[in-house]
Amino acid sequence: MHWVNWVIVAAYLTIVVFDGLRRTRGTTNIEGYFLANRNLPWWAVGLSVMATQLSAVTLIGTTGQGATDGMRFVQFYFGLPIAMVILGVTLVPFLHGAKVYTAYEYLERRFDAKTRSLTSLLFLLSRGMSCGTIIAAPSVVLSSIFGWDLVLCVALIGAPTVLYTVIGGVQAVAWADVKQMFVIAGAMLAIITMLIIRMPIPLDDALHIAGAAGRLQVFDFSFDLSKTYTFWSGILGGTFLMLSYFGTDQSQVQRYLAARSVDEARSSLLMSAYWKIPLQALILLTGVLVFLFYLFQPPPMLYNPTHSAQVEQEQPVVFADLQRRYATAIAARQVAAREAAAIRHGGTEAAISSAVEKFRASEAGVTAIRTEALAAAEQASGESSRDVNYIIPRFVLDNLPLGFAGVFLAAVLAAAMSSIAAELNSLSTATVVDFYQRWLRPVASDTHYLNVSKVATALWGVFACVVATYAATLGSLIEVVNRFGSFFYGSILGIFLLAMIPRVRALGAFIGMLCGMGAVAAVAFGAPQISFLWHNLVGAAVVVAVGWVLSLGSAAPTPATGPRA
Amino acid sequence: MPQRGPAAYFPAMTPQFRSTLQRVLGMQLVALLLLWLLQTHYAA
Repeated sequence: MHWVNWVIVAAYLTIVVFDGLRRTRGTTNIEGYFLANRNLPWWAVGLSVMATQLSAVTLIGTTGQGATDGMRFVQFYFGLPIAMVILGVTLVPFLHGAKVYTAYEYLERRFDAKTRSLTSLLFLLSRGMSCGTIIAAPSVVLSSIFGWDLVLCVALIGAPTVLYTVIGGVQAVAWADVKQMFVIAGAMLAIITMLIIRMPIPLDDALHIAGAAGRLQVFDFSFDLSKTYTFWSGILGGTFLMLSYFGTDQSQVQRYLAARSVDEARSSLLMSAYWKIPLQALILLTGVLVFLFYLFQPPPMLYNPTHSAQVEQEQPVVFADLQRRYATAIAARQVAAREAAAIRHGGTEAAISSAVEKFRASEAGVTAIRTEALAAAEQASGESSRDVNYIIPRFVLDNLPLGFAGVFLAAVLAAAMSSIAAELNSLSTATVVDFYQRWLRPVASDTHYLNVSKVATALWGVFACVVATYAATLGSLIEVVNRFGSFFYGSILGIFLLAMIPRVRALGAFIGMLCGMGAVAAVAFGAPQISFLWHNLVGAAVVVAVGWVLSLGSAAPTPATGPRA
Repeated sequence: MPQRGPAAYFPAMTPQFRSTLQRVLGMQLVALLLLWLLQTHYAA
């Protein structure tokens, strides 16, 4: 990589780390360290929430998905604004008013210690592992693209993040997130601008070709439970997923617990409600523009250079044959695309239709050869190709002017670091507040808890980096943990919903939660064709139903014992 | 001891928050409409 790009990356890292270290004011106690003394402005919390959710996987994976699969992934987020509105009038005032440090802490006040400890433990298990994968995913891509050692890539992402998170606490995390969000948005806008400038045909004509290739197909109204991205799975399943994530996941809850007031906490969530769908659509549209760009420039057959080299080395004859056929198919597609674009101006209806069909046939030919190449890559490498993650990095490095690679790399680091920092901070909070303080040292000085919190953050950081380093070999284990995590996400939401029903009792809620997890596991293994987006709805519904029925015989609750003010 | 339910907090649905909600939902409708227009206008 050119030294100019390195300067840009170094400048980004220096600014983020030093500013994070500077923002250690008020971190002399754990309320300052974990909740910024509940004094963050709504817009900083809102940007922090968005930056936490936007990981490097989103930045590089979603743009790649836009290039290969089009815009339909945006349906996944259709439930988000609905979830934010529901949370704004239910859980947010509830948790913020309770003055808790963790969402799970509230469950002990409402139910009992075992419900709190179980939900917090499940959070630690799944988030601890997922934090490793959040570091691993971009590290593997950077390692392959630049040929760097994986450990170096993990250190490049992990070390500065752990440093400013350990020292600065949530203040550093939130203010770094704000800057990182601007870096990400700036990089995306710069890439989109370059794509439009470099498009060899008018943008309107190009978008018609994208439409012909199905890349601008957004809505799928079929009610098919096996399809992951449909309008209904987004609106119904997506709402429950977002309710679970923003309402019960400590990495998100902790953001808005740090807001100055309930109103500011709600406003911060509504910022995501405003901007998430347009932002996600823009990210996917970037991928569509990359697809259009490569209609007129020969794209790599395999975007992952390591896999490409492995296929070439292990199956040279197959690779040469694939390359030859791919080059022919790409040339045919380019001609068809230009014809389809040109004929729109003055061509008859039949001629336009014929040109579009010819383009679609040529696109199908390219896709078929790429499918063969991906299968060869998986065979040669012995791992899933995940080629989609390499599309945008390769595009930036191979086609954009000097400096763009540095800006893009800074954006990938920003996306990864913002998510990791929030995870580490929330993991440390749950460890210290829900376990250390609750079970081991209930009484100690603030200084003691602050030091323990810093040690816990550092240990979680080291753990995440170790998991990331061994991600390739731990692949199946991480998958199991993530799968296990998906079993209880909806169930934890169910517990919080039960907490808001006055009659429900602790035992009913606890048994309901176990039943909810069992029901999701039964659906996941018994009917694997049902998309994961529906699992949260199943889990939450079973928990609420069982918990409510088991509490029916209980006496009505004593009023006027609201959350601690 | 059980806690008071969410009803106590529903006054949080102030007129100001209600108008914010209307803006959020309005913006979502506009976003979905734009996506729909993108899809239908450029459909071959």
